[in-house]
Amino acid sequence: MSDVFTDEVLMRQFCAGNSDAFQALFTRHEKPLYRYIRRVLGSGLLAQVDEVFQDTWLKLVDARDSWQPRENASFKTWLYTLAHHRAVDILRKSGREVSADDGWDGDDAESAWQQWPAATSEQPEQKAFWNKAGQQLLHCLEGLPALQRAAFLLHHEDGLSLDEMTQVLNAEFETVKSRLRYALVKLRTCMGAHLQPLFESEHA
Amino acid sequence: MSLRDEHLKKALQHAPDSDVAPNATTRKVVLDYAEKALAPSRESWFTRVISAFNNWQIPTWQLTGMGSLAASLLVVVMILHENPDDPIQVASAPEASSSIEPKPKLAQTELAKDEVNQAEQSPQVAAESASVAASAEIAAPKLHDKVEAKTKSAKQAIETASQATAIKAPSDKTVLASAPVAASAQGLEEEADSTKLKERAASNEAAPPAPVAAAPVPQSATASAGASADAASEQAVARAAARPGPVNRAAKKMEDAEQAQAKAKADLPSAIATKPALQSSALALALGKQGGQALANADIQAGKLRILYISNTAESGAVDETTGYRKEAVIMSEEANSKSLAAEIEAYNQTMREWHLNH
Repeated sequence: MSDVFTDEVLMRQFCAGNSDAFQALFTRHEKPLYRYIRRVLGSGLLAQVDEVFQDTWLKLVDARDSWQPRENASFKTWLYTLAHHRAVDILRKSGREVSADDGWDGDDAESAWQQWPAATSEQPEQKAFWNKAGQQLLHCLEGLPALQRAAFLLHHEDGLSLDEMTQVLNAEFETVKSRLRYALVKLRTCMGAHLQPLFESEHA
Repeated sequence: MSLRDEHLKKALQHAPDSDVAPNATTRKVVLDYAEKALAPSRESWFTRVISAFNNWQIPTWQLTGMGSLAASLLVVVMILHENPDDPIQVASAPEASSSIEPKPKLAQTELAKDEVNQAEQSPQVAAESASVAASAEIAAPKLHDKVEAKTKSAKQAIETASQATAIKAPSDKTVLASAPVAASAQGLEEEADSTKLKERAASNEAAPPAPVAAAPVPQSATASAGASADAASEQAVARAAARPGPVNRAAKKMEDAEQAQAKAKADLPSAIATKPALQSSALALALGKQGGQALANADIQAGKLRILYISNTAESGAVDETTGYRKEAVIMSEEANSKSLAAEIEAYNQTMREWHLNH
């Protein structure tokens, strides 16, 4: 069922009383959503991840009657909106800052990738490099403001468009774009500085 | 500058947490919750009725109004149901008058037939009444024999009536029909048993005893016998009226119902007057007196963890999403300062949440 039907069809079936449809939806989105919540909250709030995840789904169940499929608002957008608001609520209550636009405007470190293997390359000997890069990326994400982190994750991990992100983040298009740009610049700088020496030593 | 970086995307795919998943308990909670949300109708009807009654809160003035309405309805039903044809008046009035006033034979016969019709509700009584009616058809020259026969039939009528009233009748109409016969029969028994009347009847040969119910009185009855029968009949009627019969009981019930209705009406203003007092909760007073933060600290010390909110009704059972603490309604009176109370509740909840985060 989960492979055949779209999210919207499954959600409609769930609203009509089909619990299997809900199970299919849950199975389809549970891991990406859980990852998103975990990365937005960061390592300092790991204990709250399950709570936010559970609250998101329970709220979705409770609000199922108010859900209406719209052209520019998919089920996935709605799901991530619920999760994002709950995560930001927890961040605020924990006293962690959630501002995004800190005005930092560093150099674009895109040139750092010139020393990296190609992103499309799947050579086995580069697996260790990418594993290390993944670990470093989580570390770099911790250094970003929460809303820049959310913008980067929604765009890169979950594949949401900028339009969809405006709904999830409840922000203007240009604001979302700025947050994403800031996040990329910071992450490239952070990643390039740490991984270049590693890559050079592996190829020496 | 591109806003989607393939290197970072690939690094993200290889992150060590890329395979994390919610734990089994969380997963089960969510799936069970969805299952239950879809199946509210699986509750038993009894559970739903009970919960509906629990959630159904009626103001006191409405309860009083409904009580008055029910009492009025009861009175109306009693009046219509207990005394639909007024059988007591039909049966007892002719009984008293027929013994003193000579009536034309045809009229007496009709009265006797009426008696038969009324007594049809009870077969035994009907048999007795029929015999009396039959005897009324004959203007008897042998009055002494007839007096004895009527006395005997009156005694039997008493027995029949007492049986009919002792046994629960299938319908109220049967009871009502047999009761007047019993009343009149008892009066006649007393009359007939008096040897004085018997002797008088025997000596006059024409004087009939007091008839049973609508029994005819012959035109030839003497004045003295008529006067004696008149007095005896009046006494019998008076005794029958004093006896607790269905009509008397119905009248008493009506009086009781009217008293209850009057009492309910008297209680209505006082019930309305107490409504504002009921709306003020002790919690609201404590918040206003101690302040939200102080009360929260006191509750934390006492281990009483909860989240407050303003409500008009005393709901319970809700749980705060953030803290998991029980949510408790603060019922606010109309005259209370809502802004200051809301501020105190906010301070109280803030203190509770801070405590929750730190512990």
